[in-house]
Amino acid sequence: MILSIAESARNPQNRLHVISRNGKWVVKKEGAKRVFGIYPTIGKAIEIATARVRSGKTEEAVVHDLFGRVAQKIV
Amino acid sequence: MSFDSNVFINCPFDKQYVPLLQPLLFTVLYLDLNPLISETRSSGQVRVEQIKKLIYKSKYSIHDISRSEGIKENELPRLNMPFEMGLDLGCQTYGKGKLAFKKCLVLEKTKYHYLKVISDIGGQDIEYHDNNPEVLIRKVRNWFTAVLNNHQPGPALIWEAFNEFIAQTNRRLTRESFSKDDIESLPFSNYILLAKQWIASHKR
Repeated sequence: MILSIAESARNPQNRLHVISRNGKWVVKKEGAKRVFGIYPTIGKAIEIATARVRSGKTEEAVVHDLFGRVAQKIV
Repeated sequence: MSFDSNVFINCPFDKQYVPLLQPLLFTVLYLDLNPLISETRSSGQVRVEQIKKLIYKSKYSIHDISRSEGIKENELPRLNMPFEMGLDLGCQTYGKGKLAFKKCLVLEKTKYHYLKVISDIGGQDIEYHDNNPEVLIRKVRNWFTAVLNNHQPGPALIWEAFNEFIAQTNRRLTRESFSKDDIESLPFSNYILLAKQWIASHKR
């Protein structure tokens, strides 16, 4: 069981990224081709990503800044 | 790597430019091309000799002249990038054989800024990136699509792949006991190696 939780944490499908896109913000599952959603503000995108993490549907969310750097992690 | 896939990158290597240089290198690698930068060479040689060799070995060049002005007010302009661009254009103009087929993209900060500082380069392929990595990726990707005359992955896909690469590489290096300072001051040759590995296993 412990191993499976550790494996789950490494599963890229279980991680979200909040990324800028042409003035808007997308929430995207790691490794996925399509985005989960497109939002007008970073605040709204973080709200959606946080809700996914809090509900246990996602292990963590990585919020990127405008240069692609890691600005914040939501776990 | 061969002449046909080598891309000479002429840009500053200071801390302020790293947030643009990293996506630039990543994009070139994502398009299956090979970036050559002077930083990757040993410091034993005279720098300009290294640069001349890199120019000679590369069919393509990207010259970012957006930082040719001083960073702070009253600071002297930095002329290395325009100088190296001149070497490259000279190589293309006077070189023989394959050198005549060299192509270059000039990047600047804002549209038509070059007209004020180096108007003689009018007629080259000149694009501006607005200090925005998303714009830079789009301009570089679109330029290579035109000069290579083949379809390439879309700009949004490359940008999102870059974001995932940064997060995963930070995680990997942290696991390998790299400190935050170690990660931020990673040599570009090391960065290129990591990006190549990541792209080889993740590119769709």
